[in-house]
Amino acid sequence: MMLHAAQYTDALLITVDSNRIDASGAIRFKDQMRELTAGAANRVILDLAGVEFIDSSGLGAIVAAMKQLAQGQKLELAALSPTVEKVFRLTRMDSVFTIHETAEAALKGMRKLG
Amino acid sequence: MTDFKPGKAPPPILHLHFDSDPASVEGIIELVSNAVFVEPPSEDDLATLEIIMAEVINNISEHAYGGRHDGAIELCAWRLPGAVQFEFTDLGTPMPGGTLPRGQAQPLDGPAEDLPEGGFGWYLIHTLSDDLGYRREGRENRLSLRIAFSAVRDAPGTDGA
Repeated sequence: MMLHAAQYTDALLITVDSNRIDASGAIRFKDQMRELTAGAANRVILDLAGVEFIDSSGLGAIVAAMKQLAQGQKLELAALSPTVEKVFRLTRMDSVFTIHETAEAALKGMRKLG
Repeated sequence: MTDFKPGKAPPPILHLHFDSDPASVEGIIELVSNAVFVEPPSEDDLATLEIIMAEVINNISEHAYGGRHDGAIELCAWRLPGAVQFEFTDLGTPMPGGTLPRGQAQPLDGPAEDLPEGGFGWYLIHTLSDDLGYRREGRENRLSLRIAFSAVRDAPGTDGA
């Protein structure tokens, strides 16, 4: 699994280059999130548009990625597939994260930098 | 809901043998989906099937087989009115205490640093299935569960159809 980051005026957008976040990629996901978010903007938006499936390990990795952020930073999620949305809803993790319909909606009014 | 008694059951509509390799989960989901749904499944049916299959197979791989990817798993499925009965068999170590983990919902109202990072797997399995059962038979672990699906509601081959 690879993550890609793009800097916007008021947020860091991270996209996932894999259709799954599961047990086999959970540790790598967490490590890459730590690298990409270190010193980044306060708002970090994780675009899950390409992620069709997440298992309990993947969910744990997203929670861990949120907990390892610096003080003042906030992890938001965008574009949950039906299965991903179901995992968040059943575990009530949808109440912990701000969830946007799309990354575009989360980035409204912002300009991409660099 | 009809009581399901494997002893009196007709032959399963699906009988698979595969290795305890999490990488095989996607292929298994496709085989199961093709076998059990008689009409195109809703997104919700598919999501439920994917979550259950991934969590159960990962659990067998990580715990019963201690992370080994070459342990034997057998999966049988029977169609019931509006539901599918599944039984997973493996030859790994027994469940600790001989019972299933309870999979309780975890408190989410504390500070972020206290949020749980694990324990979601059994909670999802319990939440999405009915009549979840575990028994040890000789060297075998047998996990049985039933899942309600809209795409098998009026399926032929169910005893209520």
